Amino acid sequence: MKTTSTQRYPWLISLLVTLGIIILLLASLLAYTRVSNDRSPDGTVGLAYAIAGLIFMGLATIGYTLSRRSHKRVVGALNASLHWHISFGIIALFLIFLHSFGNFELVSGTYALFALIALVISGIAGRTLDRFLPRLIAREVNTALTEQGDDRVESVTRTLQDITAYHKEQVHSLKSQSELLVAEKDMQTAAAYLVGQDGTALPTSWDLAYISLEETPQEIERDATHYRFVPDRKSPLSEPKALIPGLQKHMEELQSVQRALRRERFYRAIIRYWRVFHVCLALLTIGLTLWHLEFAATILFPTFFITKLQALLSLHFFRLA
Amino acid sequence: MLKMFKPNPVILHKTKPQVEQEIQACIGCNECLLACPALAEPITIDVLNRETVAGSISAPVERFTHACYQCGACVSPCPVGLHRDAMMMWLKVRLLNNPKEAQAGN
Amino acid sequence: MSSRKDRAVARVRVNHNERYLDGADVVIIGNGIAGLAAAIEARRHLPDRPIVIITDQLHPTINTPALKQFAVAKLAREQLLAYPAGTERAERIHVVNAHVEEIEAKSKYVSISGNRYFGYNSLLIATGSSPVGLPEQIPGRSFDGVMTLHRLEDYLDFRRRLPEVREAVVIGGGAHACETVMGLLYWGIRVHWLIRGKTFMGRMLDQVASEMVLNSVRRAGAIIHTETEIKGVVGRVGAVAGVITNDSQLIPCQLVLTCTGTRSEMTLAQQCSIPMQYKNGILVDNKQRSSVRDIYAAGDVAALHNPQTGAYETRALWYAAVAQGRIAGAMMAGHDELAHQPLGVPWHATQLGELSMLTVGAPLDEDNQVMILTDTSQGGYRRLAIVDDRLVGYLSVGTAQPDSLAIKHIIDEGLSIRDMLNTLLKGNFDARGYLSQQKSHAVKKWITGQLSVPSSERNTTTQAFAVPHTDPVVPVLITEQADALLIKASAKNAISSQEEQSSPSILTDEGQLEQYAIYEEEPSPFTGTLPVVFGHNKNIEGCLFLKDDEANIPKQGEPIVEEIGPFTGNLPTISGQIVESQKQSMKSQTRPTRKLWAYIENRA
Repeated sequence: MKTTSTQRYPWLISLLVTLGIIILLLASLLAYTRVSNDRSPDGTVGLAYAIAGLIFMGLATIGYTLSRRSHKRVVGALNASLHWHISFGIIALFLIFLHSFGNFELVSGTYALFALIALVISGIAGRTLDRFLPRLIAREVNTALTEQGDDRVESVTRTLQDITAYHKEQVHSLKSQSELLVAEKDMQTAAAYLVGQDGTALPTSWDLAYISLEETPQEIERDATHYRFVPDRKSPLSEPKALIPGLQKHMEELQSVQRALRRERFYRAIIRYWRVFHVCLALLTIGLTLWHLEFAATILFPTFFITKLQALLSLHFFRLA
Repeated sequence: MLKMFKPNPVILHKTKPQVEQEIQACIGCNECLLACPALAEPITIDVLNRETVAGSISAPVERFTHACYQCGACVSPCPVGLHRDAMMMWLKVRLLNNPKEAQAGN
Repeated sequence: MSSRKDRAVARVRVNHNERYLDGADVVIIGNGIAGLAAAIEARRHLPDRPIVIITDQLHPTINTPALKQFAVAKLAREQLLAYPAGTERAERIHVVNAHVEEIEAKSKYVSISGNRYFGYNSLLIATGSSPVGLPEQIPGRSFDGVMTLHRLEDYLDFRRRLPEVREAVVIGGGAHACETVMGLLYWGIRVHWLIRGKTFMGRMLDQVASEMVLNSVRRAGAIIHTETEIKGVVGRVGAVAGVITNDSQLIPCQLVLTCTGTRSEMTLAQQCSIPMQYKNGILVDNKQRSSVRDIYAAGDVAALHNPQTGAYETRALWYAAVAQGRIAGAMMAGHDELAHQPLGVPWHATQLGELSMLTVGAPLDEDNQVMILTDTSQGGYRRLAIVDDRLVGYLSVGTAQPDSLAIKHIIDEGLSIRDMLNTLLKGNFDARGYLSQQKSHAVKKWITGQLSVPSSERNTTTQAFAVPHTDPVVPVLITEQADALLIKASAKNAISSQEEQSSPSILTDEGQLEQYAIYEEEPSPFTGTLPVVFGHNKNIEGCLFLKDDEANIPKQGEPIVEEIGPFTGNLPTISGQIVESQKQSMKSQTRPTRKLWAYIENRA
């Protein structure tokens, strides 16, 4: 099966359409400014821009909301409609911007424009967040899971349990068999010498007679750094449980997992609540636009009969409002 | 109307055994894929399920995995209450760890 | 390895001398999801042994629950396939299209339609279930248009009939009936829904939940007649024209859909030469073994032990069928150590109208020990059944579905729910976050010495995430081991007089069935849990016993079937594995020793 470019880049068509329309609009603006000097938002062309912008705003809002709600769906339809939603939103913003002609005197219109800008920016920012937050989440999940995909807390807990249980057992048996300790200790020194610090075999003879069973100060020094995982300043050596080898490391791992889970929750909350934020902004924009429409209608009414075209346009306009 | 303001519940990822369990429980009704705003091309659920658990990841599934933004829209339509987003997250983690598991794009 | 091949060749020759036409190591009857899942799982463990599925179903395995999406045309026929097309061929699973008539369990073959025979080493019965339909005494039950929706063919028939149907009657008070009603409403058909009882799904939902569901279906446009039964079907020139109810009402309709439940397809259990235990389904143990040696059952046809009620019941659900199929597949491949995944409590989640329903365990338990908590916030309804501080049942009806498998996990594990009660009640419970947090708190506590190390609990904690568990594992292992050792002496007799052993297996008691199952595995060196037991007790004598057994088996003047068992071939490898695992456990013990000793020595 050959992958088409629209499969690989599903947003391609909507992007091209958006760019095309924006270029057309720029061209129309250029053409218009050559022909006429009327740069008022309530001029014929200004109103045309306004109406087109309103239509695109409506398409962006209603189209996506409906396709989210609809029960008859096709795989991928929602994705396509999301792309058109973005495309229409951007076109609408551009049209409304043209409609303003750089004229920000009317408070209601300016506010509505600002809300629309915030809305479109929040949408684009949301898409950007959608792009990279999941990657961050995946990274956090990766720390919270082992390589096999099991819970890391679980595996750490198990290791710690093994260590502590074993440690406890050993301490217990040691006390009762203190006389054995000496011999065992010597054997262990030997073993430590043979096997080396990191567990790799050193190329020495395996004859125990080569080794003095008396430990040298260097040996103690070397082993001390190796086995003392816990800093002795905070945990006195007399506290047996604080001296479990690897404890600190595992506890840190545990904490890092907890932090990862917290961060994951936070990122997921951003993704969820960003949409709510976007919907709120959309409602605000709708409110401000309605206010502006009502305001504009009261201004437009006196000039209602000036030209036939304007009359027609404002009639539509009125209906929409 | 209020539904618009109610975000999908935040549920953390799942471990691999849990994901496998969910895939076993999947009845293949396709509702999650129909509700997905990130899926752009037709992927069948049996392929997606199979590739989530093991084996190589085909190019469309890889694209879908990258596109998935964990919005949770797939969870509520599931008739048996499974979490497709958690399954997709496991795929993401797999891709993160060995990007080579994905086949070269065809 | 080579000995295995030799044996395979030998088998073919022997079979030729016998009257078998053909045979395979693993034979599966039925290609529902349980059958195919078992075949694929068996193939995973036996990469080069013949695996055969015998089925009389014409189409490949499909996602049967997705048929209701097919009914409303949300899915195309091709999308119904449970595994990608060609999976059987890719996995080298031979599908034989035939009807199995009898099982000859003594000589291990089945007779199939066309007077042919097929030998097996291990056999899985996964014949599924069939719809109950209308009772025999209902007049007019065979008019055209009276149908059940169960198989793909039924749904195809249903789709073809749709254009002519304006009114339909649905009979039955279960989830399937509700789904059918919603499917009909989707097509704009006027639906009458007849429910015998006062409430809907009386065994799974309580009054409140049932009302919620019924109201939502009513809002969707269905006409619901509770406490109504069908008296007869009226036809006109051979086709349905209406139904008559017990209150003498005539409901005109062009389609009557009966959704009165299903019944396990057990004719094969009756047609088995060694009597097989069955009640409402073929009785199986935790590892899907039936009461007859080397015969397993999985899917809708198998009746499993419910850990909560203690009864044997079938679980006609997708997830249960997949899980059972996989267990049976591992068992038939001789890997019973992989079958340590009991199914736990039953759970059922589905969409009822606009609402999602979830029931796990026994939420309707009215025992006086049980505390019931309910919650009706957020437009939903949740009911928790709690004993002490453990959850035993969970019921949820609402717009959102709670994390069903996590809740099942809590019940299966018997975790204390004291701290999660509120989120469970509200239905927004996040198991992952909660459990990991709780675990790390516990770790911190016992590290700092506020809590003693839970050494005895270790078994449960280690399994908490990986494998859901309900049955106490350790005691079972111990008893099994004890039994194995006891029976060891009689192992020789056991094999030669196999038939005698199986005949007293006409048991009624469930406990006896268990015993039989334990006994049954004895002659095979792969006995259930042997490796685990050795690892557990580090019993070196046990190893000797195993070798002993290995030496014993071929010596028996045994039926050929025994000789060709798939188990014998693998023996050396397995005992090697046991030794390996012992080694590992020894190693893991010696390594920390060095460190600890070394540390103590430093201290000194």
